Amino acid sequence: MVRLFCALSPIVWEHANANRAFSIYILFRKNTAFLGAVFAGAFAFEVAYDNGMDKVWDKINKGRQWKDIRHKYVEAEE
Amino acid sequence: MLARTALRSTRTFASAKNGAFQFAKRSASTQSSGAAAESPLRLNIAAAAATAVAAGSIAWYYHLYGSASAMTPAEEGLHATKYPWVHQQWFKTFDHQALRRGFQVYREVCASCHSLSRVPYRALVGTILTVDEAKALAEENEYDTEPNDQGEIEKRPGKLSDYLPDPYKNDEAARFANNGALPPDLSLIVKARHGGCDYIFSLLTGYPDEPPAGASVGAGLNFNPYFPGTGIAMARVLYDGLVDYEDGTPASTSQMAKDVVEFLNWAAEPEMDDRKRMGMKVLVVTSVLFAMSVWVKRYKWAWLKSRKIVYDPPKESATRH
Repeated sequence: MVRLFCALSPIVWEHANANRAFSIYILFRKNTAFLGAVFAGAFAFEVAYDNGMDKVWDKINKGRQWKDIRHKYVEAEE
Repeated sequence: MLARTALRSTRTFASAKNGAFQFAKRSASTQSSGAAAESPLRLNIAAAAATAVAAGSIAWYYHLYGSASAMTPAEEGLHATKYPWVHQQWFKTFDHQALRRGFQVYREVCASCHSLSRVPYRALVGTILTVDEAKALAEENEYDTEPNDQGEIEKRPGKLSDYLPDPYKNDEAARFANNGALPPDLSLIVKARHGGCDYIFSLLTGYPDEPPAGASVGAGLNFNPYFPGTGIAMARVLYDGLVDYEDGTPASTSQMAKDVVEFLNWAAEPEMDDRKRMGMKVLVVTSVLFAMSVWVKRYKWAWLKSRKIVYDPPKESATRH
């Protein structure tokens, strides 16, 4: 994710010069803010991406995984 | 050119018998006088001799062994049919209901001869059995304790951390009970056999009712075309209705074979589900990153790629010098 931000940053930087008033580009003025934004963004993206892909995965494999059939055997014992 | 080289090497080989010094002398003088010194007669004799030796050795081989029948289909085993296993698709997990059925088949049929020594009960929890089922199953078997104060080793009921028990005490006992043949451990059998799932499924379902005419089957062996050598010590074990599935699936021979093969694939690759899920995430994110890097490259190169080189000829001047 860090790589992704670094790849993008020069492009965004050019825009930042053009729209200095626009609030999001404050991030790119100070290095600490930039780095913090990168790490926070990477963390948030990681969580969101993992959860999203797990949902997709469960949809692809609906009915095949243990969690889909578990209820049959756990309820029977209780 | 090739024939020439071959002939020359034959001659070199023949002269090497006479002494090493001659060989050394010959290779030292190859460039200067070698080609010029060979007469056509000697070349022809050498070619005839080499041909005679080759033909003679082939004839001798046939005389000794009858025919050159190495790597025949009977020795290799019939190629297993490719089956469209769903669990082998890129983004599909094991069908855990099938794993449960396959484990039942293993327990009721295979386990009497084949061990599954690399699978602990804890691996079954959360994939095939519930915790309580696995604990109950483990407690059916006895395991050695650590030595107590007197150094005696006692027996205790199994725990989740124990491994599935072996049917025989050791390999010798297994061979003795099976007419000299050792039933292989099944933990990694899907990875260990060429053809994997397809091979094992074909083997289990491929026993003919009787061996084909002309096939020689050794004493105590059974004919199976998929087994390399065709003589297999294991007899056909799966027959329709052999096990009674708890989920009501009809227990046909092929159904049981399919379930137990999928179970054995799980035993060999218990990490497969997680591995494929991680693989999907990696593929998606890397393809997005790749697309972005292509876009960035084009963006950066746009000025260079879109420039136009124009030839501007010097103006024709009216005055001539």
